[in-house]
Amino acid sequence: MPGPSKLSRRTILRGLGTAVALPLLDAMAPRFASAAASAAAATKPATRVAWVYVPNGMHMRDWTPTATGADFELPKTLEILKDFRKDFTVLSGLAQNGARPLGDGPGDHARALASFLTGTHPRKTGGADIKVGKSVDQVAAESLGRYTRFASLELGCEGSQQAGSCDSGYSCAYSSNIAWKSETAPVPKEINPRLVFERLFSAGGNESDQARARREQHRKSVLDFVRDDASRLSGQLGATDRRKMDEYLTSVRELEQRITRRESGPPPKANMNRPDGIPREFADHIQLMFDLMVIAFQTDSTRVATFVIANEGSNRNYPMIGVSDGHHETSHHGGDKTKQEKIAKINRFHMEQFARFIGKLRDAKEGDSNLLERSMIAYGSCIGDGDRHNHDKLPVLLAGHGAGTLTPGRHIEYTTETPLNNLWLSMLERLDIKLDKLGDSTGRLTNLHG
Amino acid sequence: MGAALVAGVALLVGGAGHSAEKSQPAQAAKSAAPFAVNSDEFAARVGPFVTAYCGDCHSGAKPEAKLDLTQYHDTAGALHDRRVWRTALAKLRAHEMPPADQTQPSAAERGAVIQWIDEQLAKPVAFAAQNPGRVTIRRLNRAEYNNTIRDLVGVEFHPADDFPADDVGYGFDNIGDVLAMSPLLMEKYFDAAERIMGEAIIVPTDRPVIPIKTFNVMEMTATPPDPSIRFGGVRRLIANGDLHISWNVTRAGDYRLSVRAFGRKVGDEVPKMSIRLDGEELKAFDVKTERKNPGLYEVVTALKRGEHRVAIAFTNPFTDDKAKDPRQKDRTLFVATLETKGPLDAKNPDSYPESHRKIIFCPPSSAHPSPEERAECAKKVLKKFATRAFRRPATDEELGRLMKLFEAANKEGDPLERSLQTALEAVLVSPYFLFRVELDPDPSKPQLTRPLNDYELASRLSYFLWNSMPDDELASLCDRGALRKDGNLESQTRRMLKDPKIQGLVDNFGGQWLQTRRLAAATPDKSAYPQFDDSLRADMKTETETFFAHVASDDRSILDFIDAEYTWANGRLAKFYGISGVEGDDFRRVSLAGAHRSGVFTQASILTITSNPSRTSPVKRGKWVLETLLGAAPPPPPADVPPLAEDKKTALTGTVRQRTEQHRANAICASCHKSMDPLGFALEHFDPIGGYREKDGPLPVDASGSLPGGQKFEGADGLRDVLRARQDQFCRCLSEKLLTYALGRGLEDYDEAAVDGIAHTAARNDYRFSSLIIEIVRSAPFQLRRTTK
Repeated sequence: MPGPSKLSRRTILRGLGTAVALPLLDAMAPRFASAAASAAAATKPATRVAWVYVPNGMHMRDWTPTATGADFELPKTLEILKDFRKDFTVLSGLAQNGARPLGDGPGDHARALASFLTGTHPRKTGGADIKVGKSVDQVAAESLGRYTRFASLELGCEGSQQAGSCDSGYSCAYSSNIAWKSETAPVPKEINPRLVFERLFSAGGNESDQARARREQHRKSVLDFVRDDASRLSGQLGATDRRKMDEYLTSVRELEQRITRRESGPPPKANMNRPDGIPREFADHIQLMFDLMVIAFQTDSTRVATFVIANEGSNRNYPMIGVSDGHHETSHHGGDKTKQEKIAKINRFHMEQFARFIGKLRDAKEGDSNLLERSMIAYGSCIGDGDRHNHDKLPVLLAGHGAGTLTPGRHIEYTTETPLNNLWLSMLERLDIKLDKLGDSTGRLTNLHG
Repeated sequence: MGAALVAGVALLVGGAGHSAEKSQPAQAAKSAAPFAVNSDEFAARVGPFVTAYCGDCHSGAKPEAKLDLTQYHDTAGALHDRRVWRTALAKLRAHEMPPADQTQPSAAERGAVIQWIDEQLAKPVAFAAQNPGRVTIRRLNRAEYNNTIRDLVGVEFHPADDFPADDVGYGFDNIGDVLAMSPLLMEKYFDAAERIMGEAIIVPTDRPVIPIKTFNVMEMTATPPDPSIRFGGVRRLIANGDLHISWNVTRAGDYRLSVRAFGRKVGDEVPKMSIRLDGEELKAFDVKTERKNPGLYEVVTALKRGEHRVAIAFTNPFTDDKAKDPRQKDRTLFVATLETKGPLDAKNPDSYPESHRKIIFCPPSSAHPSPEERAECAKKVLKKFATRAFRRPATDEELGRLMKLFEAANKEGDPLERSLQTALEAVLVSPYFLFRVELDPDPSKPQLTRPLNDYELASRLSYFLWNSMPDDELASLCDRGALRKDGNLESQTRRMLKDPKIQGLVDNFGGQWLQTRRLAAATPDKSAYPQFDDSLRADMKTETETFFAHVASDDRSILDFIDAEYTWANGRLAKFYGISGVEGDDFRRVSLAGAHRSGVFTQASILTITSNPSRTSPVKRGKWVLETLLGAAPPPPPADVPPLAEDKKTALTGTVRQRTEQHRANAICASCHKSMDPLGFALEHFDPIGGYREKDGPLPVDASGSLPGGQKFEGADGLRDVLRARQDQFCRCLSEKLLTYALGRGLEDYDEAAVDGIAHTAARNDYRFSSLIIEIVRSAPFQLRRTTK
């Protein structure tokens, strides 16, 4: 683990403060897009989409508003978002069936994260034959990735557990990955803000255009070489091994595309200081990852992101808010009021971080609009009550206006068992991605707009 | 007893080809009479026992635990499902089965069946009769990548530390099926290849860039530890001592060392600073500069390749006790930066790093070689490098394609090193380097088995023991086709166990088997356990690693893990354990006599990772013992555990133990917790960070326990005795874990015979660590490969 470094929050914010005055996306988009796509982009502003995950369920009493519609009282956890009342909608009653045992017994935490964006029931395995489904963010990335230097950004604060079993016979691949490129290939998340920054804005930021062009030319010939290697090798392998080579070849192709896109110019300049590493304070870590998300959206480096604030089943404690017991152990509160209050505290802590993030999105001007207006940010957990491990009536909210395609500021209650994936499908629709079905979706949510 | 049993009898007997009256009373089945005519030992000795004591539940259409024990009729059939009978053996031994509320066999009956199953499982299964299974092509994980680059190129900067973490399956992060490839990782591989080659090879130019290295002063170690206080990006020294850091110099030559510092004058003198190298003073300075205008203090010195210790010492501390302003009390040296520049004569080939000379081993004789001479050298370089990187001879075809890359980059006038860079980088991102490739004999024909070739076997061996590529000695044995000849495999294995690179097994197998890797993420409650800081955390990890390394390289008995009355500690850890007479930072072997500890499960590392932040968890500790030492992980809790009816008073005043015991009031929970919790209760004398205690809160600790079957024990010593009595189960568990790690796949039913073979041979060899390793290396799944679909 890289050593935590000290980092003043002020430094980051100062960086971002100036970033607000960045060149506008509108001026940058055509650089990466084809003529036709940029023509479309000119008429329609780019929508950004992100999913933010928090583990171990929620203290639902402090989450679910009692009234529906636009006129409802904010419960304690959502109260933190009061400045953004008209910028988010609470969606109650959604369920993620894939997270349920369905005959596979315990393992709700692993299943929760693996099914959250896939709407699929993960195959129970400690390693062999890992299988769940393609996740909604990766579907979005496949389509929106054409316009940006990075198809998507996968962020987290906790790496995959490094030993032992993660959850009741499920490989750790399930409990630490939210994004799945295919049903067998998870997309790993980056937890070190320095590495995210370097990736987005290039470590060798000061190399000349000529040097960069030469380096990328080299890369292309090396990519040709290894593609050759992998194709030859693939022919001599059995089916399972061949699948690994397919993953390899897909990665080679993506890298090639990325280089092609990059050829149109140097990476954008970031008006943010390069982070030193993982900050010691958890809140600083979360904020830094959110800042990177904001700046990635702002520079149109990507339009799709996921952020797993803590892995599912995380037993991290939160001494900075007076919770010295582990999150997971406390979530099994058994009805104990003290424990429930601790869970509520942790929920509020996460929500405060989220509130600052959407605040920054709102402050980030773009043309005559701002990033929050042009975003769809889903926030939630795939477990309702941590003690019961239920996967229905999930705590989910959707922030942002989706560039005018959403009417936020409401609490909508859906019929019990409405698949969460119906929401994902509805979000994809707003990104002009026409898909009839995703995972276990049964249709789209009808009343998100108007 | 009733219908189910009768049905079971019918099934068993009918299947075995005997006639039996369906109405035969259950009690009669206890008699072995109906089976006496059968010469098969299973049918004669185990069958009746199953019928009488197991068949009631384990039979029929919906048998308990989905296990129909009445389906077995003869020895061959039973041994086909070795795992079933091994489990049965364990349950019988532990008196977990038959359940306490069912009819119990006599001690003699139980003993006879235990003995028979045990004997059967101990019989070796012929190599050729085993299914070796198939290992999915394995990508190098982060540790393997770092170690391989270290051994291949000779650079030490751990490029893979920036790669995304590898996921864990079956407890380890080297499982072929789980090691995924992603575009992010591919990009990192390219970045790493460029960085590695940039570091390893010097491209001679007319105006070489002289490398500058900036050390992070915040990461420098202070001696003595106390006086240096970090704030505002500056280190502060007020006592006689230094800040130091280890520096690995890869290129020999003259270097300039620059320290940016300022001082606070107190008394008659300004602070004196000394820049030291390997304990020798290079230059002393009077630090007259002040905070608003720090000075740069520089010295030039010649350095050899290798590790050096750079220190910035403060040599004239002074305290003015009369000073009114506390900030003006101590004469202080402030250190802001440490930077080195060099080698200053970067053009001199003598300054080139070892890695350069190892890779470019045939530099053309003149500065302007002919194109032929260049190509010839390039070919030699690429052949040697690709052969080592691919861990088998590079083919002519591969070499041809690499030469094309060279030629495409080859520009007249460019140094050869530059022209070679692209091709060398290509080797480092080739799937033949990034994956450990074992080709299937014929992918279209499943179920073909073949022995691995020498190169494949050498790779399995070296990644198993060293977590890295084979060395030259292994490679040359492979070249001669002699790896399996003349006992070479065993002697090589023994040699490798003694090599310092065995640290690869310690860090990666040891850290994951014992789960001490999770220590990095442990977050004990600081207010309740203020002793726990990053130093103690590091010491805990070092203790367990050193202990493991000692067992491995000194070829101790593996039983040391469960009963050693010694450990490894430095001053700080010894103090934490209450052991006197150990001073300083270095770890040494210490006796645990009188320290209430023995065996790895009493080490603070393990006691910490099995605790919650603010309290112990006997459940987690018990589970750890079962899972890690006995290979008998309890099934996970059922999904809908009814909440504990929390009695506020009990909850507030009870010990962790009392609170835990409430779980067991529930019958569903009790079935597993009764074997798990007592093992954890035995460790209740250790708090959540592994410190010894007599009380949990205000109440005295109760560390007694009793296992199903009535065996009573108390405390860590009692637990040690319980584990000693199950030493063969422990040996088998460790065999399973090692084999899983060695193969990089989960174990299947067909691996049972191999694991039994390994464990039994190790037991016959006094449980020597080496015998376990050698048996794994000899085993069918390690040596053979089978194609499956």
